[in-house]
Amino acid sequence: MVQARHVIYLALTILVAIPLVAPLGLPVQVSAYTKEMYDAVEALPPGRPVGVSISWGSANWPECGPQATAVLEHLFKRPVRLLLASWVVEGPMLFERILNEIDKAGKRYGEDYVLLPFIPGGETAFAAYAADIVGASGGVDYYGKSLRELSAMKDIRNIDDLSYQIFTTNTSIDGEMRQWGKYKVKLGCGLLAGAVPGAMPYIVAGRIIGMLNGIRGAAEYELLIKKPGLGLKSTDAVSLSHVLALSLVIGGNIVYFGRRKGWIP
Amino acid sequence: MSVLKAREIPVGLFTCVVVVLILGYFTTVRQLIVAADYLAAFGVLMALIAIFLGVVDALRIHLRHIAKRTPRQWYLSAWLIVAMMMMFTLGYAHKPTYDVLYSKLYIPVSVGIAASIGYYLYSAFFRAFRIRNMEAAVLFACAIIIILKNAPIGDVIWVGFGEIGKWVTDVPGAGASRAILMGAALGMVALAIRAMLGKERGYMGGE
Repeated sequence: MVQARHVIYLALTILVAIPLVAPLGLPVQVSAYTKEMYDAVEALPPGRPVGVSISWGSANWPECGPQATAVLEHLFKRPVRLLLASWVVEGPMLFERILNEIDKAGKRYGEDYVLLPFIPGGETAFAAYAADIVGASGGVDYYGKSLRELSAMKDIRNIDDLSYQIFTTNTSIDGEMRQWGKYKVKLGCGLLAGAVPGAMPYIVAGRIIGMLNGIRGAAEYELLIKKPGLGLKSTDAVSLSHVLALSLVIGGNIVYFGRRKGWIP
Repeated sequence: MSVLKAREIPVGLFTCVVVVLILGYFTTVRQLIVAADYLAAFGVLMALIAIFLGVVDALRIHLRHIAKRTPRQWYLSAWLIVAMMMMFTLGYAHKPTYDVLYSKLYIPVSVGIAASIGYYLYSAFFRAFRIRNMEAAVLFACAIIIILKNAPIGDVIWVGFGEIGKWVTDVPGAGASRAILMGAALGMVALAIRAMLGKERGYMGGE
């Protein structure tokens, strides 16, 4: 027997599939927080190192993947050195996947960017990384090469030697802020939309410069760097699925009140 | 009778570590900062050892299931060990195959499983989001504003949704999050004090 939830599942499938076949091309307004991150990347001093980290697994790829891809696409075009760090075991593989997709603009591994190995321990790892990046990585990169021998690591000791640390995460940012908040490094973040409310105290306080809000944040960043990707492709599906969510919340309440007042049997 | 009972040793160690970490964070004494940094690096090493122990323990549990031919479990255990060993070996022996399996199989399967939760969420939108009282009405209004702020279609309907949504997240949202943050921080301080006094023993397997 067909139940309400079966109809909802079918409607959701259709609404997400439609824009993939026939994009609606709805305009996307760039938010102040996304613009702030773009401007911060544009203003990076040449030759200085920048950190980018991943704290999300492959299940969050649709939302966090486009954020990290867009930001790295932009950073690779800037005259900066890059340190790619991972707090989840899948992080280095996810970075490799992104690096295979983006235009690296002639940057060379070891000279311009370094992929650090997975650093375990959650918040303890944040603290260890902030205090001694080479030590926390065990002295080697993801491929087992000595970090001291890589020119990209020149003059890098702790997190304050970075000119910007961008972290992408699928959860609360309290751990990063507790351990990195006391340092002077400029911080930026890419978050799952659901994690944004918990991050607002740090953002409105000005401790975080630039924030990408879910898949929409990724789409906005793609617009700014003029490189349409998965983020922009997904925004129409996000719009239609959000309209469905709204309709279901309103419809559910109409049914609820209708039953209470006796309008609906 | 020994002065040092088994319980006092871990509590003493815990207290020493916590004191060094706190002083390393809040003071500018170089020796304490170095000691706190050393402890953090040691924590990373401990986490690595814990991962190794986890792999050993998973193997032990699943090999036991296979040996006992546990009904409806042993073949799943065998599959887990085969998959684990295959990925471990390929990661070292043949990286391109490993990358294909990771990118083209593991990521899509993970994303698919995570996406299936979305279906339950949408069902819950219809069943659970009822305006039963004033608080629920406020939540309902905020939900509508935030949904329309986050979806590009909200800007198409009315550009004001973005501004109102930003105010909701920046002002009441940030304020409420700040209160939760401070409450949790005070709770953590209380928990640390209880643990240092030996009243909280959950971390050493006690009650």
